[in-house]
Amino acid sequence: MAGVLARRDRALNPEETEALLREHLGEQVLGSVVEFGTFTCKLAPEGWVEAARLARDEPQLAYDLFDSLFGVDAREEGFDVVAVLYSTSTGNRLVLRTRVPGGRDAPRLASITEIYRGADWMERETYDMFGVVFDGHPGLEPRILTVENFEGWPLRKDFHLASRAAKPWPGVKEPAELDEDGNVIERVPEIGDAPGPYELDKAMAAQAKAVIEQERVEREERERKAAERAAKAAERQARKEAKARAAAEAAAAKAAAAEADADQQPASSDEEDGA
Amino acid sequence: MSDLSTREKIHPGTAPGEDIALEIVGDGDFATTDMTLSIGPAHPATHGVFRIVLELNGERITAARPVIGYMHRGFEKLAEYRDFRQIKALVNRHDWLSGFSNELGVALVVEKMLEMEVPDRAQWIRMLIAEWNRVLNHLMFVGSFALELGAITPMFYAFRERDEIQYLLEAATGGRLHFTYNQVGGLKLDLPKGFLAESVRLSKLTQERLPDYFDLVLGNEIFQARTVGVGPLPPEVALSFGVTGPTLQAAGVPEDSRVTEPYLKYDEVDVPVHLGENGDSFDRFACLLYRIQYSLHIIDQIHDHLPAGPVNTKLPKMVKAPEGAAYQRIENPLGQLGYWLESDGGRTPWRLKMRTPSFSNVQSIPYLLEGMLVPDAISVLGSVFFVVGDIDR
Amino acid sequence: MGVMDQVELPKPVRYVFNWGRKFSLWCFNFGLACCAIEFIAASTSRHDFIRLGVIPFAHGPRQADLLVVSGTLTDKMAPAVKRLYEEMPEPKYVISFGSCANCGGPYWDSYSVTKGVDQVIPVDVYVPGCPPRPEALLDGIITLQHMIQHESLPDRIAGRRQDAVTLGADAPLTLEGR
Repeated sequence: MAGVLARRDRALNPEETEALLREHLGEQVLGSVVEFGTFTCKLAPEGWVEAARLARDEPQLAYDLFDSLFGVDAREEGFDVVAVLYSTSTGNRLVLRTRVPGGRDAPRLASITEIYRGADWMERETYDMFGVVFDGHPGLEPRILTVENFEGWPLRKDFHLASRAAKPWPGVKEPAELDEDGNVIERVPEIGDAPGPYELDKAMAAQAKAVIEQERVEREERERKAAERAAKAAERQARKEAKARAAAEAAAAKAAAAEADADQQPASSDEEDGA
Repeated sequence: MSDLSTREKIHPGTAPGEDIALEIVGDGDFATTDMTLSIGPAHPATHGVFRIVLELNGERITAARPVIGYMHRGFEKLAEYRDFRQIKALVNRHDWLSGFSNELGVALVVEKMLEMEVPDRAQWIRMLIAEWNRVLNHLMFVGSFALELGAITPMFYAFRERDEIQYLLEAATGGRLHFTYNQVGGLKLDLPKGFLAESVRLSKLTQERLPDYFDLVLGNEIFQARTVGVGPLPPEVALSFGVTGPTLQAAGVPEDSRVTEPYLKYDEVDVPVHLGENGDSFDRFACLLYRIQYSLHIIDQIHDHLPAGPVNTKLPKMVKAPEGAAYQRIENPLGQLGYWLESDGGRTPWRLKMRTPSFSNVQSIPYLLEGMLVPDAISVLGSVFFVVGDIDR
Repeated sequence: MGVMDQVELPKPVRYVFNWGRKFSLWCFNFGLACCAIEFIAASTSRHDFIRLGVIPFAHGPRQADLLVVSGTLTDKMAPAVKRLYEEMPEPKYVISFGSCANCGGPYWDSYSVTKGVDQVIPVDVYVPGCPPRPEALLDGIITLQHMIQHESLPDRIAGRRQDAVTLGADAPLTLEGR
C-alpha cells in the first residue's frame, strides 16, 4: 500500500493532463473544468474513442480502472455521455464528457467496448435508459434492465411516471411543501447543539473494557495456576516414576544377585529340594 | 468407444444412411451435444433473482450469459422526483445488505456540493456504523457462500453474530437493515446511552468468534478443494471490467478507497488491507474474512477516538445542491460505490447516477466461467460477491 | 385432491385434518429483495419459525404448501412468480411479506415495479413493514395457521376458481393485460 501511495507524487495535475490530451487530440478537446475536486474534460464526439484509448495506454495517464459510463439528459440539445476513469497507480480520476450527435431523435456515439471491457454493460444500460445507440457495440438488445417489451426511454426527462399523474404524493409533505401562509416549512434540527451523552458513554465503554481486561487477567491467572498445578503434578508423577524405577532397578539387581547366587550353588539347592 | 462411429454413440439404432438433425460435438472420447442451461431467476445458487444462461458441452461451460434486470426498480428515475432527504430513505434499499454505506454516499456527495462542514463526532459515528455495517454484510456472505458449497452450519453461526449486531445498530438507528441514520450535515440522532459499551463488548465477542470461521470454512479441506484455483481473475482484466472491493483485492491490487482516497476520518486510523495472490475463489473469500477482522480492528480504534460534540448542523431552509456536478466514491462492503450528482440548482437532483460495485463485478462472470465445469460455476457465482438489487438498482 | 375438494368433511374429522395441515407447512421462500434477508433471519436460531411447523426446506414449488413472496416484484419478474405459483399443488397459501410485495411500497411510482403481488397471484396474509421484523413474519404465520384451522377445503377450492377468473389465469400474462 505504501508503495502505491508513493507513486502518487509523480501524477499529472489537471492542467498537465489537459495539455497532454490536447497534444494528441488537438481541437477535439473542447475544454475542461475542475468541479468539486473532479476533473472533467469535455470532448468532441469524434475524439471520444481516441481519448479513452489515450487515457488507458499513455503511461503518464494510466487510467486502468473503468469506473462507469452513463448518460445525462442535456435538455433540447440531446444527451451527454460521461465516462469516469480512475488510475490505481496515480490515484487520479478523469471524467470524459461528450455531447452525443443526433440530438434527441437519433443519438449515436462510438462504442469504447474495445478499450474497456466494463463499457459493455454500461453502454447497454445507457441505451436502455436514454436510447443512445453505440456503434460497434456487440449487442445492445435485448434491453438489459427493463422488461423486453418496454416502451420509451425511462431516464429521458420527457418520460413521465404514470403513477405520479394518477395518484397524489402519498406522504404527508410534498418535497418543499408550503404552509398555509405560503412560506417554505422550516425544519430545525432539534438536537443540533446537544453535546451528546459522551462522558457517560466513555465511562461505560471504559468499564466494559475494564471488564474484558479483568476477565483476561483472571483467565490468565487461572491458566497460570492450572499450568502450575500441571507442572507440580508432572513433578510428582516424575518423582513417583523415578522412585518406582529405582525400586524396580533394586529389585532387578536383587533378583540378578539371587540368580547369580543360585548359579553358584545349584547342587546345594537341589539337595534342599530333595530333602 | 473409439471404434464406434459418433452416430452410433448417440443413436445406436439409426440406419447408416439416415440423417440426424443433431449437431454432435466431441469432447475427448466422449461425444456430447451442446446444451443450454438456464439457471434462475429464482435459483438458490444465484442468491437472489439473478439469471444466468450457460452454454454447455457436457459438463464444461462454453459460454455464459447473465440476464439481469429482474430487480430493476428504476431508482435513478425516482431520485429525480425526490428531494435529498427522501432520496436517503430510498437509496439504502438498493444494496440491502449495506444500507448505511449507501445513504452515507448520498450524504457525502451533497455535503461536498454544499461545501458543508460536518461535526467531528458525526464523522466518527458514521465511520463506526459503516464498519459495523460492513461486518454485517460480510457475515451474510460468509454464511451464504458456505451454504452454496454445501455447509449449512456457518449460516447459523453467521446469523448468531448478525442478530447481535443488528440489535446493537437498532438501538442507535431504529432500523435492522435500512437505517436511515444519516442526514445532510450529520446524523439524525446521537448514539444512545450505553451504545459504546455494548459496541466494545460485541467487537470483542465477534473477534473471539472469528477464528471459528477461519478454521471451519477457510481451513476446511472440502472448501479448499472446491475453491483453490477456481476462477482466477487476473488484475488487468479485473480493472478493465471495473471490478472492485474484495474481488479486486483478491487479485492483488491494493485499491481500497478508505486508504487511497480517504473520506470521513479514515486517514486518522490504521486501515489494513489483505491482498490475495491468485484472485481465485479461495482468495476472494479469504479477503472477505480478513475484511471482517480489519473492520473490527478499525472499530476498536474508533472507540478510542470518538470525540464529544454535536452530531448535526443547522441546515438551510431547503437543502438545494448548487448548479454543477460532483462525484463521490466510498468503499461499500462489496466494492466502490460512486455517486455522480448533477444539479440544476433545484431541490431535486437533475441526475443522480449510482455506480454500484455489484454491476461491475458481475460483468466479469462470463469471463470467469468460460471453460469451467458446472459445479465450479457455483463456487464462482458465490465468491464474486454481489447483491441483486445492487446490480439492477 | 380429488374427493377432498368436493365433499365437506364431518366437523371432528375436519378439525383433526386442518390441525395436521397447519403444523406442517412446507414453505418455499421466493426471496426477491431486502425482505428475504429478514426471512432468513426468521428461520435461523434466534427466531426459528420451524418451531411453528413451517419448514423452509421445500425443494421447489412442487413440494411446497406455502409461498412467501418477500420483496419487490418487478414487471420483468411477474411472469416467473405466477408460474411458480401455478406449479404448487393445492391447497396452497401465499404470504406477501413486506410493503413492496403488498403494494409497491416505496417504489409506488416506479415505472418497472408491479404494485403488489396480489395483482398476479391471490394472497392470504399480508405482512406490512419495510422490511418487516422477523417477529412480524411469525405473527403472519400464526394468522395463517388460524385461518387454516377454521377453513373448509371445498369452500377454499371454490374461492380459488373465482380468483383464477378475476386474475385471468388462462390469459397470458402481459404488461397490457394488467
